[in-house]
Amino acid sequence: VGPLDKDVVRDDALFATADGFALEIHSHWYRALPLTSLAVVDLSIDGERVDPAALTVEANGKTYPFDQLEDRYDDWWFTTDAVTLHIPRANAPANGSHRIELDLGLSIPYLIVGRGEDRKPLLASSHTDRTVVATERKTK
Amino acid sequence: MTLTPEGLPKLGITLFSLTLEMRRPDYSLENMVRRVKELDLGPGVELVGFQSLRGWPQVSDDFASDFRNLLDECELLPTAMSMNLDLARRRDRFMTEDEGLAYLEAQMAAAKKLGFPIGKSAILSTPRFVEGLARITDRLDMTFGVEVHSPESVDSPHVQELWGLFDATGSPRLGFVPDFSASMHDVPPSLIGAHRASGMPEELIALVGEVWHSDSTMPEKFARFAQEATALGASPGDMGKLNMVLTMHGRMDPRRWDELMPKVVHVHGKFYEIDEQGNEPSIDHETIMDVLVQAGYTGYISSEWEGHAYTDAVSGWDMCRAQQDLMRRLLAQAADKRVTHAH
Repeated sequence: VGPLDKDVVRDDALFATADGFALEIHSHWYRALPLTSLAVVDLSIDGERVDPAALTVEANGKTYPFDQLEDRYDDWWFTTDAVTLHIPRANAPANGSHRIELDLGLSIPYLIVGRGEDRKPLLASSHTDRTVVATERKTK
Repeated sequence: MTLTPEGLPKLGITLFSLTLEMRRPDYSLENMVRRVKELDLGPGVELVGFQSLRGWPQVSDDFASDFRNLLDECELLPTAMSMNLDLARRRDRFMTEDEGLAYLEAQMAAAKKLGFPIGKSAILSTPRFVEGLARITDRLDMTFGVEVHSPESVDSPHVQELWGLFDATGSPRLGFVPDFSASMHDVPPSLIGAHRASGMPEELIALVGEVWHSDSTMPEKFARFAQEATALGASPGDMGKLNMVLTMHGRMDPRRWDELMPKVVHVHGKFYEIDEQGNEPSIDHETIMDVLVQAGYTGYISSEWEGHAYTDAVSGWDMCRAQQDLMRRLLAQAADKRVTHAH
């Protein structure tokens, strides 16, 4: 586990919203990546898995469904910025402590692995398992 | 600003060494550049466009002018701009050759606007791509280098192939950027320490060290490590981490950089730690400085601390200061040896 892996979910990353959670994540890669690189978000909150198709991704002030990022190769996730994941929950969650388990997989567009037809970008994964305190956030 | 004596390699830093410092709340590029001056880590400044510059490769006239003025004020010089060829930026297909050339040309133009004379990136090793790159460097009056980084070495097929393609263009503007990671004599002790601290089994640590030191090719090392680690019951996660030890740290004889020197346009002084005696325990800086001085290299060496990949227990600033002290001492010594040999 590298130092940037510890930076993916910071102490103040989780917010309770009117319709669920908002989780701010920071990249574990050293350089900016296009939003198309956000390949894997395998997330559980308090042991309850989040369907990736239900996620929306907020980056640079705009919001996209997680499963519709394929055209976002000109939008960049800069190194010092958070991307916010919006996670709907049927019952509005409470403030307080919540366990975050996250497998974040970033597709690295300039590091190509494999040969011939199997050539594909390297998938750089980062695993987080920590409990953080949610605070209230009015927007979204 | 302390300069190395005339006729010797010049020193500088890549801001990539400060990857963790860039995540601090008080970070700004301007403060970072000023600190380079304060700590006397110049005169050369290299950076990674996609890391340090928001919106790269779009660079506004105002930003470019402010950046150049800042470097001037700090008596620093832009050396090489690290770029990337994001072949898999789209999910549905790889970039075509023409798209790749356009992608690099935009970054070269942005680098020039900021005052950088050299661009560096990985490239496609086809005649058409290399010829296109030669035309781009002509149009912009710039130089371009491909890094020779572990697991590549002087005699790896990819490097030999590029050498042939560079020569075929007849362009003096294309060359290589040797990275010290290709010529190490040990795995960094601090990396082993980090694996140990994270609970990596001792027998796997011993195995990867033994395989790393063995006299065999890279594919043979990967295969032997996979086989023996599996037999020891290694998890896929642990195997992945230790495979990186084989990938990131090459065991080429550092004297062999001499063969590459006619084509060297810039140097990456990759390192991982400096010990209490002021030496790098896994990279033979003395031999490398001898080779660079003997070859008459007067370009830049960028201090590139990469220990931040596995530790935040030390400061990238302190590490680069210590490596430059070491290189300064060894460059003076190498210059003395050169004079002695000449007599």
